[in-house]
Amino acid sequence: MTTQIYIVLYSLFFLFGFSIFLFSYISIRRLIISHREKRNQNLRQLIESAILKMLTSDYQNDHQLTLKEYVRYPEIFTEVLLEFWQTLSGSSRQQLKNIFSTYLKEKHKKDITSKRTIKRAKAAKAFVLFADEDEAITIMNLLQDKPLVKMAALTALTLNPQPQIMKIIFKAFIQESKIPLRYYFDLFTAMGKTIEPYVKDILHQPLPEEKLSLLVELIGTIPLNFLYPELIRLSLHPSKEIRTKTARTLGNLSLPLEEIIETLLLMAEDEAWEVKAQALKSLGKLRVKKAIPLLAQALFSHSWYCRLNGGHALVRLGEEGLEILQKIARQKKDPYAADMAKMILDEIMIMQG
Amino acid sequence: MSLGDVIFRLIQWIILIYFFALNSSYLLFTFLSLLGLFRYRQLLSYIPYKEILHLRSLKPISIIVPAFNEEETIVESVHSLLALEYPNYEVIVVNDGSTDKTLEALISHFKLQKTSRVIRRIIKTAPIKGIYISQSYPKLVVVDKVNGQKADALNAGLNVAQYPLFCAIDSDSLLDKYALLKIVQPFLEEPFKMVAAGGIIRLSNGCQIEYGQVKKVGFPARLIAQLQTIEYLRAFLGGRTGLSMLRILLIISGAFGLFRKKEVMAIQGYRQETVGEDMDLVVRLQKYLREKRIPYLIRFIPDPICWTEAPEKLKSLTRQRNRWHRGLIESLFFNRQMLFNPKYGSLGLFGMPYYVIFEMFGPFIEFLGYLLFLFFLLIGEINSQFAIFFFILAIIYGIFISLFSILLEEYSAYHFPRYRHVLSLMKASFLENFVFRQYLTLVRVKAFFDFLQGKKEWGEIQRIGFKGRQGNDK
Repeated sequence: MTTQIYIVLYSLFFLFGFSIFLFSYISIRRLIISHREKRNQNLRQLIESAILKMLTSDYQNDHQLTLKEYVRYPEIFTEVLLEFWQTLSGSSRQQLKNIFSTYLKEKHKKDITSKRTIKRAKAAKAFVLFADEDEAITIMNLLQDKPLVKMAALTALTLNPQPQIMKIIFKAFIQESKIPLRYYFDLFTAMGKTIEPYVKDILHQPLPEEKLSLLVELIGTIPLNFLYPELIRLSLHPSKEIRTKTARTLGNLSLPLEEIIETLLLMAEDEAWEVKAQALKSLGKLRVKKAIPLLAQALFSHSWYCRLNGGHALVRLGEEGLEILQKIARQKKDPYAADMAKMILDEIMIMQG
Repeated sequence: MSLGDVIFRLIQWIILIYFFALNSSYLLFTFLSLLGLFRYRQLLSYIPYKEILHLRSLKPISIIVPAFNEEETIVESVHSLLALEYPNYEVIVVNDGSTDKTLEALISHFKLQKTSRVIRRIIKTAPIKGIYISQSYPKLVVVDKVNGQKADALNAGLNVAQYPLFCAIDSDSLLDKYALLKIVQPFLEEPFKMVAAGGIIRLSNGCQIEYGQVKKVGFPARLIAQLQTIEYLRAFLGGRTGLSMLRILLIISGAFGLFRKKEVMAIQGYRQETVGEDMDLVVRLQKYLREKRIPYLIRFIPDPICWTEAPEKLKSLTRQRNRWHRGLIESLFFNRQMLFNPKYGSLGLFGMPYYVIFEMFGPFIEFLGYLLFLFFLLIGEINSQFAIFFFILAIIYGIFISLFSILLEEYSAYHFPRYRHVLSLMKASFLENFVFRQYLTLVRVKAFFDFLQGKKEWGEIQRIGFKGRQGNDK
């Protein structure tokens, strides 16, 4: 036999061995998983019924022993506890907290210092719902952790919206460079109007455009109505993107105040078509009658978006706006304006039957 | 040593080195995929995709569905798309000059009415005959246009689309109910950088389908579909996850991909002169972004599923693979200036060369290998013992990589519910090495010559349709 054959045989032997190993691994893994699934399903049912009994019984101590048996399965135990949390409210939640403190807290505390990122993130998630106030410091240490763990910790902190903690969260937002800012957006949206004073505060600080733009959008999404003076200030911002978002947010606030209307009317004359188009849309949303001439004029704009938004804004203004749209649809001087008006009228007829 | 001997030895070495390089690159991608899938799975266990549904920062999506002569399946496909779990999206069906009753079926079933919608013709397309909307299905828009091939239909859809993200899907494919929620995830993580993401394509053959949704995952009954199942697993889970991790992914399947519209519009949408418009789009998109020095990300996500039907007739499979290979060659040919060009970074230096050497010329070298092997064996220039062992080695290497793909499948979605499905996959990974693989090599070699002759046809593919899928428990 030549050297070549030896090499081939050698490779063959190894590859064959690896293939057999892979085959066995896949098969055995399948069997283990299906067995584990069955076991977990049973365990889940047992833990559920034990927690339920504990929550509904007057003699809670009787059920403590039963629950203790399941401490060996902290993942399933925590999952069931989290599910109960979502379905229950009031004093029952305090009982769930007690169960967590008694049986799982120590394990999760250990996990928070684990070397595995996912383990730390999961532990932080459990703390979201069950942590006591004194635990906040432990979680705050996680703000220096990897993005995933930091996200979990931030979520945890938002459920305890005390002034001190809120300051920490907003400081984290200002300093943020790793976590996608959209995450903060979702976090802040979930917190609702409680964040108003903090947003106002940081709007006066020098912020990168990306963060400022996100805050402007946030004001309109929650909405944070009392912050409209800040938006009026931002309507003169040098960045086109910020002005566009400001125009949209002013419309989303649904506050037909004279100051807002005047600002939007000015923005509808902006040099950037993006700002103009948004301002026109917002004027329609606020149903500003005195904007009708401006909106009608927008249908003759060079910008497709200005024509579209101007037309839709006229529809929002009711009969008066519709009459103008019909007139524009009939005129022949500007076919682009006529087409847009026809399209809008047409679609209203179809969609409104 | 004579010149003939030198040439003979040289060819032998080239083929051997090529064989090991090709399989080793597959193995490398598979290893990377395993790592990537493992990370993705862990992340999912922390962030359940259903929670995404409630996020305010979700961007709306326009789903563009080009349709040509789909009267049998279009209504069910659209129904399934209208039932997807996603807060804000529109479905734009583009009837690309069908000669059957596709449009009539849509109009009568969804009670469509013609509207005089004004659209921005940013990308030139064949003329649009009408745009239809429905009062009962406000998410649905149907565009009726003069026939102009798939890329043209997609471009017409892009002109009509009103949302910042668009998802291109085939009209004969079905999206998993949560597919949009899953595929949009990277756009939430990296809203400024992410320009495109692709999901996994799985075969619906053997699955039970009801109301446009896969109710029960099954395994195909016919061998030809079974062999394609293992191929798809290898290509998507093994290949694309790895290529995506190396940031040299050049294909997002036309059957299911999510894109940021702004950048696609900037490159004038899909190229109409190719049958591989999906690959060409991704290549040109990256070319444009690299030339403009815009930081970007393109990712393959192993979880969002799009179900498609694999051809069960050899003739249809041949046409499909011929078209795919021509599409690949065309995309590489049209963007050849990127090849070995350091201006395009890893894409020009590794991505494009990989596709040219292993994907484009792969079938040639494999075919040449078979021919020479037989020839030299016949004239006694190769030791027959060596030949047999080498052949077995090649097969086992192939099986080994396929087994790895099955492992990836096990780690990813756990979608074949029964153990015997896994066994059938293993059987398929063995059987595909005989005749099937060699036949497809031949098909791809022919596709190269068809490309040289300027063949542009799509080739009709005979399908059973989702209505006929009652599932089987094989």
